[in-house]
Amino acid sequence: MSGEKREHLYKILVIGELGTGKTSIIKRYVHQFFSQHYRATIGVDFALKVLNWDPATIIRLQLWDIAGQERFGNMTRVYYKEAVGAFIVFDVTRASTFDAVVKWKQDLDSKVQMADGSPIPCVLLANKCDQQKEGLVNNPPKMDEYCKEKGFTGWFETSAKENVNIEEAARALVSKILLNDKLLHGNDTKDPTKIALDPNGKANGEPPNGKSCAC
Amino acid sequence: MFRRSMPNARRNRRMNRSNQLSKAVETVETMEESGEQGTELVSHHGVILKSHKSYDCAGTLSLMQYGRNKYIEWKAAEVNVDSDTQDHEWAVVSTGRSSRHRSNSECARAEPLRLNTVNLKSFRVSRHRYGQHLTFAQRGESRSFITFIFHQGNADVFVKSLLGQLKAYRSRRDRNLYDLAEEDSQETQELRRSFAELNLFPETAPYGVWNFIGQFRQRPYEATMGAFSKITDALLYKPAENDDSSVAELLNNSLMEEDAVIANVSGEEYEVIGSKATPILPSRPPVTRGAPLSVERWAQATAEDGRVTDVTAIKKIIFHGGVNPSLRYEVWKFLLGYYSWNSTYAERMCLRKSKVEEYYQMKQQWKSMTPGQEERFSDFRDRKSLIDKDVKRTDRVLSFYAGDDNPNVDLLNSILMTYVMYNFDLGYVQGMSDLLSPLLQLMSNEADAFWCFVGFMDRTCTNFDMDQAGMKLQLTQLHTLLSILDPQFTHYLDQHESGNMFFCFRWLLVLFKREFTQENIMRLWEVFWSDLPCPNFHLLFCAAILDSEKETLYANNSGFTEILKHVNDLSLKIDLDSTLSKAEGLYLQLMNIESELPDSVRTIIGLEPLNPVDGDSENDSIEDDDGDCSNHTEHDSSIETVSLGALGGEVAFERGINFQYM
Repeated sequence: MSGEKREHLYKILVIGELGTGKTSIIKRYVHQFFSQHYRATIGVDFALKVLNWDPATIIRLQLWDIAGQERFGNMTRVYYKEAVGAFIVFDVTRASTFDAVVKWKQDLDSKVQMADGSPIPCVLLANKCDQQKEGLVNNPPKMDEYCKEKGFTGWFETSAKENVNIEEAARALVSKILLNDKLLHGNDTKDPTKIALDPNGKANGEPPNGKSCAC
Repeated sequence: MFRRSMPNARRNRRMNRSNQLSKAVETVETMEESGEQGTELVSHHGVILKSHKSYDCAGTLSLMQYGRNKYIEWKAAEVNVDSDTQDHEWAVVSTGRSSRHRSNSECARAEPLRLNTVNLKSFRVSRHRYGQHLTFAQRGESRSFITFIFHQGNADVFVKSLLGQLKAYRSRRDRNLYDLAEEDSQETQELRRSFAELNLFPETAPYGVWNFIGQFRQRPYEATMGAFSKITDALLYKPAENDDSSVAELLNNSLMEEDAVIANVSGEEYEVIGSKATPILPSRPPVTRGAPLSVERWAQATAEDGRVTDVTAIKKIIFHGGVNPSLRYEVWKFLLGYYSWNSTYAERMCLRKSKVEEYYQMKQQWKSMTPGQEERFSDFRDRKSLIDKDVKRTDRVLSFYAGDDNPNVDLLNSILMTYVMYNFDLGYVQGMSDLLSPLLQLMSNEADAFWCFVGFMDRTCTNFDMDQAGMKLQLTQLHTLLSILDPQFTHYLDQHESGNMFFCFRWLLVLFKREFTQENIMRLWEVFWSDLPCPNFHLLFCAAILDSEKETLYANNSGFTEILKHVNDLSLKIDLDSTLSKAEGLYLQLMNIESELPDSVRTIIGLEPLNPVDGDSENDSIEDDDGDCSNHTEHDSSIETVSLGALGGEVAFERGINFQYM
């Protein structure tokens, strides 16, 4: 591996209810910029983020910003294919957007899986954490439990406006994706059933990479 | 739903025929049970062995090295043994009679196939509606052929790899044909001998051909789609020097008699037949845009009492050049059906008064909702919250909506909330605020903007259907139009998982609102609202944009993601006038061959179908929504089928969702 750079291209979905800040998170992450006035996404938008992960690894993240209104769901699901990771975003100021998280997660898991059939890594983003919070998100231990139970890699309180935790959340997701890559590819000689079990075991057994922010 | 274009009864009939015919023409080279481990040199997934004729039965085509020899090998990816797979016979087509028969149970299994390359004479790539075909011709006098369909991917890539591994030369006469160098080793000779011993081709070639055609003529009804394609492959396809032209001609003639079946065989080399199904467009006539409707012309068309005379001429002017901006405030009310063309000044004043009253009455309804009521009315609350989220981010970069506490943003909110009370079931769907924004900017007045919006929504509300049926229909119609306007590009899209046209979703949902500046979108919309020259002109407008972009897509060999991205990135880069001209040109091209257009296209552009549905015979059953049941050949309906195929290429979940409407 010496001197040779490895490149990965990962397709990441950003999904969640309408108006939770999906576009803002992506724009903050990719362009380091925030605006109150991003238009509602119609259909799907893209952004590309290049990460110099370590001296030997370049990672290109293709971020798919998918319109949130349920009505468009059966049109936009076509964009899920080949994704290797996802963010599900909710708005901490509106508990109803948190209630919908389960629905998004189930939908995601039913529409896209890893090669071994296990769910793709998914990080939960509690966005707009610079504002007044509503519901379960006020109780971090309960949130940890929730994430474990629902199969999230972790959760982060984020603010696209104040640039809180977005880099961290992305790093957690990418770490998990890389880990999965390793497990899948480094396991050629082992019992094939092991491959299928490992990611799940890790997802449930490890404490989430993400620690909720203190804001 | 996947086979919608081929109703079950008919399909089963074909399969039965297929089984019968498979007994008549086939020879098989089974995989040797050597257990030898080979090396994979080249491989390509999602390749269909042509005789299977089933998209469910894709496999992997590879070039394998076993010992010193290289083999073309095909293995089915996964086979479901059910009634649908009974036609999974596979065969190296020969023109002679088979000496071996296969039972149905044998046919149910798609066995791997292995061809020693030393026995291959040549291979050829051809483009078809269903993808690219790669056909191998065997050496020897038998002239047998085997065809693989590259349904999902590009056969060119595979061929390139083959060229790296095999000694092959591109034919001078046919650039798609590659002759393989002969290596007459001892093994080859042995293999030839073993072929001969099998006695698969009891008669020498020409006689075999004639013999088969004789059979075919005697038993035409036992012929099948699959078998036809094999026969045509064997005879029409002329890899090198060919003295069978008279045979091919004869076959052509006999095929003509059965054109209901043949139309399936499309592609360049079957031009004689194919031309029947896909009309050739004449060249595009040049079209120039006109001047906008002027103040003088409008005044001239307005009678003393205010009635608008000459509506047809006025609409024509609007179609060709739009409306002078200073007249929009007035003319749009007619275009959007708020005012009727035939009304007088007095009637309009009276109407407006009552409409304004009605507006404020409905506005009062949501305004007067108490917090407690709202608390117990979740459907209302949901709509309100959606509107609240969206108006805050609608065109805020325009000065009309810019800045904090802009009253126009509140107006946008009020009108949309009132629309919820006007049509609660439809409520608010994303995209509506985009449609309202230019109307409000133009009208300024809340009530007028509302009623214009009502008129606009009456035209476009199916875009916002709960099940998205209206959007899906338009995407399908766009594909149908494109398949006539530009079969090559349509084929390209199908090949690149984009036959569903989803990349046009935003264009259609908000009628290009996101693609143009506010000034230009006003021009475009008023042109659309003239309802000229035909219904669904906006789909021709889509086709016109794509026509300008396709070369870029080809050049970059753009796939699903790249096409989507490219189209998304066109925002604010599309030239309005030239695209409108081109769209009109496309319309004129279609009208030039009006009588040759299939009904599926005719109905989209508002022409009477030539063969209206008779609706009783069971074998016609459902062909497509447009009732084009008369020519139920696979080819005609392939306009629909291809898009299904393209969808089928996507991940399996898509089927469950998107085939429902197909």
